[in-house]
Amino acid sequence: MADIAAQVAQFGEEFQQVRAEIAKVIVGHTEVVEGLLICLLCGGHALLEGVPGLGKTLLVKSLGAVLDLQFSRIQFTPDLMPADIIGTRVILQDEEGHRYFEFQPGPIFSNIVLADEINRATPKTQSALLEAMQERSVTVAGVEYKLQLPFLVLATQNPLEMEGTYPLPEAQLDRFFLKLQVSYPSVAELSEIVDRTTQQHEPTLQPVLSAERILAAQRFVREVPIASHVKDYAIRLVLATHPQAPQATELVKRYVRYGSSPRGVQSLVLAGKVRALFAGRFNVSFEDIRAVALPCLRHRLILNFEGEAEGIDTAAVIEDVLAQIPELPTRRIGAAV
Amino acid sequence: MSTHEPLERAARRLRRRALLVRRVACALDVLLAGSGAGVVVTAGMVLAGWPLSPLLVYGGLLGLAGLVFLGLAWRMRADALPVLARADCVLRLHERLSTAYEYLQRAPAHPFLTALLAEANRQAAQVDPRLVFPLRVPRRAWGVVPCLGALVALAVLPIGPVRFFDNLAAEQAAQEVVREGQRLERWGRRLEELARREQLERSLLLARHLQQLGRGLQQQEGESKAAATERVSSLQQYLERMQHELRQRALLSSPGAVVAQEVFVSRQSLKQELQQLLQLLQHETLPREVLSVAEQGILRLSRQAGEHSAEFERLLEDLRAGNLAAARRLLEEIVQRQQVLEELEHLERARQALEYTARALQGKAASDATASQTHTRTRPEQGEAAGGEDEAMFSEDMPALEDFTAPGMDESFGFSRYAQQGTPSPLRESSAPLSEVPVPSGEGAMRLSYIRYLPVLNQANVSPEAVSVHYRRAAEDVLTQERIPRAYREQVRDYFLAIGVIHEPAAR
Repeated sequence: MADIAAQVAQFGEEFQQVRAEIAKVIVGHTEVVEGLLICLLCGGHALLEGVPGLGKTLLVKSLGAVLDLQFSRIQFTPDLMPADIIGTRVILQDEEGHRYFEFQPGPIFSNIVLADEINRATPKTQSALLEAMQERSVTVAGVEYKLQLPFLVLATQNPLEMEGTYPLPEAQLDRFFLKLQVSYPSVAELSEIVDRTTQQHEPTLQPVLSAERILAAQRFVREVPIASHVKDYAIRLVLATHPQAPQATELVKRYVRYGSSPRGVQSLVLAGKVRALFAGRFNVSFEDIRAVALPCLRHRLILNFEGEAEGIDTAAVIEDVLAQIPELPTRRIGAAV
Repeated sequence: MSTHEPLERAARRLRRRALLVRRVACALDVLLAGSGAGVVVTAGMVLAGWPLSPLLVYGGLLGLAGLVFLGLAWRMRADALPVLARADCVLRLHERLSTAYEYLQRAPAHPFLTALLAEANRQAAQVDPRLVFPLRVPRRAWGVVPCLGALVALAVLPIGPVRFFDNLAAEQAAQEVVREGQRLERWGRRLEELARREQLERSLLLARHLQQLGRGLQQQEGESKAAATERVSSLQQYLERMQHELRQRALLSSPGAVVAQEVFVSRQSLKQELQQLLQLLQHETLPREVLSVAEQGILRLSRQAGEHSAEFERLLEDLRAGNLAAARRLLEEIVQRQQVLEELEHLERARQALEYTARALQGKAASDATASQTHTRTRPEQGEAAGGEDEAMFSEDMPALEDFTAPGMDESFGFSRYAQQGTPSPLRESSAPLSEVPVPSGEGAMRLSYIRYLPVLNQANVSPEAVSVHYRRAAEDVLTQERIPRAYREQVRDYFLAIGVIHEPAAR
């Protein structure tokens, strides 16, 4: 018991240090930072959405610096080719004059990949990320190359400039563990940002966690217990996002075309486990599931024409589902009472 | 003590509490159902007079409710995991209790279990089952209070069995009394109007009694038929006494005897002709021409009077002898007798009206009224002039409204009214002798009526007055019995209108 409790405590301390280091550079955005850490610990990828200038890129760079992981940044443009991401084979000549092919890995061969403005690349290039994100490997000329673990893709996109962009297809969206909304800072945060960025002194970030420690933490997270009725609640939440399901709410029936995939439940439970550990608990609670429901599910719902036409936000649909679905099903309460 | 004893103990306490709360709710539900059933049965016993023993009923209900409760309570279960999950939710324990309990059962070797159990045990020691399962009375259970209140009220308050059908019958009877009262008042008004016109004092008095009785029947709500019949019977007795007194005074002993009634020659009643004669004889001396006119009038009356013509002959003798005073006295006596006669007629009609009312109240006329519904349905469409309120007066046994008119002064039927309306008579006067048509009418003793009418010049071998009454009655019977198809009624009516023996309102 002491061992687990100590591990949990150590886990909490380490990631508190990570937060503290990031906070040296990034003002506010605590939820986004927590979301990024959840993705890191769950082995998932994150999609950050926000208007330009909110510090998305800086946040990701800072995370890379704090975690002592290899970091690479890809600026997605319309002329970016898949080979520019995953690498290509080049012809080389040895001392004897023999020519041979050698694979030159692309920027994806890093622990943390920042796919900046991912929706500006063509779908062909975007899809080059699919295998890497899901399989943690890339295949070039029939040869599969494993990516270094931990592997984390952090993509950003600008929701305003839609001209000349290629919205991510649903299949690719579903591969992102969380979708995090980077919101505009408050007055106090803005004041702090101004102070920090207009001074001579620039803070330097110290690496806190190594790759091995992160991989161990990823394994540790998966051990966290979750009660059957909590898991059942996560499942009911995801099922309620499907308009055909009996649990579906009125809002879902009216505005949603397709609900969340099973990856939604996986992300809910895993993210809940991480959140429980962050809180120093040994089990997942309903509160953990509710807290991560929005970033886990908001990009997995596909609105129908009516929803799109009326400008319905998927976040509103998920909040409605959270409000409508009881934590304990009625029959369970009835059986108890 | 095992490592998870506090958690197990908390689970047991929570289960017991959950069962208690659920059983209390179940008991209240059973009580609600039982008290509801008790109210229904008690209402049946008190209001409808169900022949049930209260001891048996309430004992049975209590026993049944107890059995149902025991059956339901025995089947109730409370599992540990759901009650712990409920405790986690209510006490905001972040699902520590339920997760620890579940992993203790499902995965006792889980690496997190020890730490999880330690936390759960710590929390379980502070769990108060009363906070998790508070003993609240369900909202529906408050229905027991009004049910029990109703039960007590039904048992304590002196509410007798409600006889729905008896009430209905009583209400119908009361309505019938009121209806008869309205009818009597209507007839009384009509009789008063005629009596005032004819200056018949007794008829006037009786008419007012009739109206008074009618109003009394209408105002005495809830008066039984028997009481109403008794009141009608009292007035009938009074009327009979009045008739008897009048008969004593009249020369004609019985109204069923032969009576000279109608004089149509000058479209005046016998009484009017007698009064005109009396007016002529008011002078001490009479010119010859006036004397001649008076003699002709007396002769005419003498011919009509039949067996009573002797008085007129004596009158004629006195007149011819120049004894005007004797003739005047004799004529005054005749006029008085005629007055009495008319009054008797009126009283007879009133007697018939009272008799009809008495029979209607006794229920004997109920079937007649039902049978005559077709009659009452057809008559109003024939005669709107009779007025909507008189529609019930067309029953077979009832005296018709025209029966209240003075003899010879019929306004609803006859040629006098035809002439009064100013319509030119389609019949022409001839020099043929006056015809007399015997007409059977009324009920009981046969009353012979003589109708004198001007003979008409036409091509028929039989004079119209000889057949018109028969035709009229036959037509009315046929119309009443609806033997004539509705489509032909207009033709029948037009025919009688064309031959001029009926007038427009009566033909409808």
